Amino acid sequence: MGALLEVKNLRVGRGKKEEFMGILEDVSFEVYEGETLGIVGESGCGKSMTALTIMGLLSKNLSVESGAVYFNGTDLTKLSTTELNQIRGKDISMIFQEPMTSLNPAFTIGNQLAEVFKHHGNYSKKEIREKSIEILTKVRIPDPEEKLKSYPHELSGGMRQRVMIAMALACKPKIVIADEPTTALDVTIQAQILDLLNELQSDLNMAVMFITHDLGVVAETCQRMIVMYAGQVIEEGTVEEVFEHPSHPYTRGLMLSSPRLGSKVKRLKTIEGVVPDLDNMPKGCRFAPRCEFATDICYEQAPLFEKISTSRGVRCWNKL
Amino acid sequence: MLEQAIKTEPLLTVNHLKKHYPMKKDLFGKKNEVVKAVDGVSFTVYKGETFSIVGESGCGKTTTGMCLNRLIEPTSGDVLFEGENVVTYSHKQMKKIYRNMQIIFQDPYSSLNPKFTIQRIISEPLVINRYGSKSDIRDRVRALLELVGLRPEYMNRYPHELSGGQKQRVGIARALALNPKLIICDEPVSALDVSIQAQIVNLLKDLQEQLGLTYIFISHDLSVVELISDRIAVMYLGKIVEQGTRDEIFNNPQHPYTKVLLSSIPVADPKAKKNRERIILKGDMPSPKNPPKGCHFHTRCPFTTEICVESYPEHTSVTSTHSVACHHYKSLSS
Amino acid sequence: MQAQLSNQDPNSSVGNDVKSANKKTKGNTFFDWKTFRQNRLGMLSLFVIVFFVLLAVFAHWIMPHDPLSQDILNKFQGISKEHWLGTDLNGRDVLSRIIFGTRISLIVAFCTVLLGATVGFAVGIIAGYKGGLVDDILMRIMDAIMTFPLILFALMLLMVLGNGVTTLVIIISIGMIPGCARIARGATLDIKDSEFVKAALSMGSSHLRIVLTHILPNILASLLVVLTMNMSLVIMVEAGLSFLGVGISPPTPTWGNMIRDGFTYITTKPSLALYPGIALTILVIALNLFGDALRDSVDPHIKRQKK
Repeated sequence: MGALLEVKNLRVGRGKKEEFMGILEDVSFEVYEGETLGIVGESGCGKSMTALTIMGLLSKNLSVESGAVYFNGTDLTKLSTTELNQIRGKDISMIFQEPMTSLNPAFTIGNQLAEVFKHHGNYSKKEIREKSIEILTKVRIPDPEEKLKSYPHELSGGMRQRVMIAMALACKPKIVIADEPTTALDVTIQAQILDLLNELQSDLNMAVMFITHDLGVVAETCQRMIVMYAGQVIEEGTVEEVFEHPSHPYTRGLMLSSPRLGSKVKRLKTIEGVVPDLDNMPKGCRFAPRCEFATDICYEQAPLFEKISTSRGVRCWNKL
Repeated sequence: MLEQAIKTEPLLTVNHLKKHYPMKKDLFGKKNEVVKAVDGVSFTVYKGETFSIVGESGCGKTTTGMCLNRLIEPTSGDVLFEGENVVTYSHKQMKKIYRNMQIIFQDPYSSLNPKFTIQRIISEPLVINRYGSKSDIRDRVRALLELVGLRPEYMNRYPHELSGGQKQRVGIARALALNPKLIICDEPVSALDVSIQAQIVNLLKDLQEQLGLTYIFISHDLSVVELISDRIAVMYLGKIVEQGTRDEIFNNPQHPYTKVLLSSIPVADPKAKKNRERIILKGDMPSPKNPPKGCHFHTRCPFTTEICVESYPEHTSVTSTHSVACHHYKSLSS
Repeated sequence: MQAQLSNQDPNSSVGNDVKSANKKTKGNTFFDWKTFRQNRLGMLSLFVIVFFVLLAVFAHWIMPHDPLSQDILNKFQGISKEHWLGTDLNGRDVLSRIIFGTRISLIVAFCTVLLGATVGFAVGIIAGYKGGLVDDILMRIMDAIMTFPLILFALMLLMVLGNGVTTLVIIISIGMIPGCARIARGATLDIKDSEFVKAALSMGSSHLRIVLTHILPNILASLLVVLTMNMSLVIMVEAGLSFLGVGISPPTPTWGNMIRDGFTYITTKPSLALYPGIALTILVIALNLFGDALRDSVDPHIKRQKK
């Protein structure tokens, strides 16, 4: 089965030519139709940057140095803004973390929804209204007709996030990139939103790229996952495979240091040290300085991403 | 840990603590709306234990924590610290209390004065409380840094040169400076990455054992709370809905809200999801401006009946250590 | 071969983040000299300001002539070796008068800003920190001062106190106070609720100590920027007042009254008004550019701190 989205050897960073400093290095993965792919990592690992690269939303000082993002045969990184705008919001859309800052506080919900429709089709005002109410109902917002007239600040965090989801799903995209959509929400609201996303996904048969640092969320919502560290993809596999048997020491460390509800663990195992700074990336494997399994070669040579099986891959000399 | 705690004396007792914020006044100066952030909270914390207060945003847990040391002025109620009611103390009188009650804040990025060196930050409580000579203070700062796992070189650095986890360690060192008996930890790891969280949680546990500290641990993260707590209070919209030992709360939750809370937490185990029965709440948390009459939770509770709408349930004891505020808890626990 | 890391050592990691973090902005966080140096306009304006200050300080030694000595026979002279910028309606050397005027302008600006800003900032900080009734009362007083027309106030004060530098300083500094108070109040409000202030309170710190050691150093930077911006305003106001005949009157030269004197002859000998006007413009622009550059270089870590 061909991949819907293919990210290939992406290298993204700051500066030009000799002064180029890579932040994302050799990032590759695929997203298949209808699946939920989890992208896991801690802050600074590059997961958000990957999403922004796919959407063409990188800030001005960042650029794609090499690599590609294939969607339907086209390399998104090579498209102009006009061409990208045909795809963004329609075939690929994004849900952001902070609904308050990603919704325009000066416009009503109705206005903002209408914009999505206007941009991607020739609908009449009546049709737009109908479609807006339809999508708001789908995301389980009570009194959708009333809500069209509301402003973002009049809604709760959970509601705003649903509006964001509505906007992202309005044109029935093939892929939705969800960048930490529930991190800023309370745990009971998070449960509601995850439940909703689940339902919508099977309804509309869309693929979801779920970016998060919460292993619990990944375990519950995703089928496959990739783990990122310091700008690289270091492990890939189905959720069952990776949780059962993490191959990369970082993945293992991450799982052991996450407090798990119901586990009888008295003390969390920690990963010593901190994520290396951009200016000071270690020569060999980026995780070596913090790794308890590091050997000589780890400090000398950066390991390549190896496919262990059709679904599994890991970037490590000493796979566990 | 807990067994010791029950045998010891209460360190802090809170009785019917309330914090109400009057909102808009109408033309005649009468207060129209009142935000009842904390609406009658009572609990006791024993020496040597970790007492956690959990709840989602808006439940009043942070406000409760800040009322304990008067960073926020309580509207009414008592806070008895080692027998003394500190609610009415002046700022000067509180100074004496502060030596024994300290606080660790949530955001490592804003809890340290960016213009102070680490040394100055940690020595500030010592200076204010006239700990000793300059060299005494410097020695103590050095010892504190070592205690929290930071090298002495850090004394001359500025907060912006440290990582989030390191900043939080400085915050902990500062809280420990005066050798307090009680430390209020206000979401101390929420702003940190998972692997750093683990480091800090372990540190807090170690320090508690080493120094015989008592913690009040405020958090929304139940997984962390399970790890570190002896006893737990669950708050919803300004009130405590359930209180008990850690095992009681996690293994035998009585209040519907506690059950929902526990079932909402995503578990990092792909196999578990098939067996889980999750209760999904409808709607959002009501505003603390106009809490629902009767039981505060009745608007979202899947088991609401008429009595829930009409009257607020009193706290009833399930065991000597476990209490719950629900009309139907008996019939719901099967 | 890297030594095995000890189990509980959060300090150690290659790429020790303390060393590599913010190489440029190590240490004190008040002012980022490097960024400032890179701002060419800022550096240029700094030199211009320093130039004027030196002119004012060493006026007595630099002035080619006595700014007050009249020489009626040689009035309205053009540029000459004797008088680099010519002479004015009374035969006085224009250049010397401009140089002397620099001194007056800068002294007035300095004293005014010092007085006005100190009082203004203090009021603002107290209002911001205390809040409540104190805040309300203080800010309403500020509003009252702001709405009262400065010129009218100046005239009233002049009638009571008479002409002179002191009067001018008092007038303008009072005019400055509300603006400074407002800025200081806003900056204080920003900092007041920070967790590190709460931390200080929970250690038993007195409120005075908090204001002096926690709030002031963190708002100082923005206050300094306001200060420099206000300097240029003050110079303009002083010139304006002198132009209107309020404040310092001839024969003492200030740029303002020189422009006024020269104004009568604007059609016949425009240079009389032009030269002091140019000096005024240059200094004001320099101060503004300096303030801009200062704003960019001040509190360099606050932005980077945010996660």
